[in-house]
Amino acid sequence: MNQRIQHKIEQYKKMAGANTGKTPDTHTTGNRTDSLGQVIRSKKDADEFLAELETAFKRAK
Amino acid sequence: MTFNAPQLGAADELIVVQITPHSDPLLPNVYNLGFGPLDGKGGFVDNVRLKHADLDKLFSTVLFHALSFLEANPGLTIGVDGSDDLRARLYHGMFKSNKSYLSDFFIASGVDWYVRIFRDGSYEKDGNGFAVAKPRPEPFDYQRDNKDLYRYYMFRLK
Repeated sequence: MNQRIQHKIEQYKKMAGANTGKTPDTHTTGNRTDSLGQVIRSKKDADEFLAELETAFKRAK
Repeated sequence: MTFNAPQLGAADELIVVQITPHSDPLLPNVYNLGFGPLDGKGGFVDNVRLKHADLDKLFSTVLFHALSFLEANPGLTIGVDGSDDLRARLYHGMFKSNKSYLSDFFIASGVDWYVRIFRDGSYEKDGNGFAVAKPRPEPFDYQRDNKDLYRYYMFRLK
């Protein structure tokens, strides 16, 4: 992995760890409405979508 | 996690970044990423317009959080909901402005909604007469115009 970015990730993890303690654990979005969930109505829809998503990711590589 | 995002002409804004399991049990390996200022009710809002002093830094901080999460959970996919124009512009910009910096780690997909049109010209409707939209993912098109937004954005480790 790119060392510069790996270093930034480590920096980020330290920052995230430090900040987490200041954040009330009530920060939750709970039942946020998600638009993808609204257009997937059945297991068939989900299976087709996930198969197409795999194809899209493979093509994007 | 939270971080302070400097604002133009205003005090720093505390930004919450959160990755949570997608609410649809049919998408078990998809996690939803959202970020925004506190809403005063214990959550955050991601559909408010802020004047960030450094958008690239904001985006890269959020994406590093996602990268850290995916490194620990490499089989998962993160989705971000562009359900309104404000959100979609924000996320579209986040992907485009970080392409060169993070393309070593992520592969990204944009999702459009499509409606089936029958041979007689009518289109597929539900029981209430509304169009039946279906999600159609494609490799994220970085050349796509900023006005031509996706409905949903997804990415995973390369």
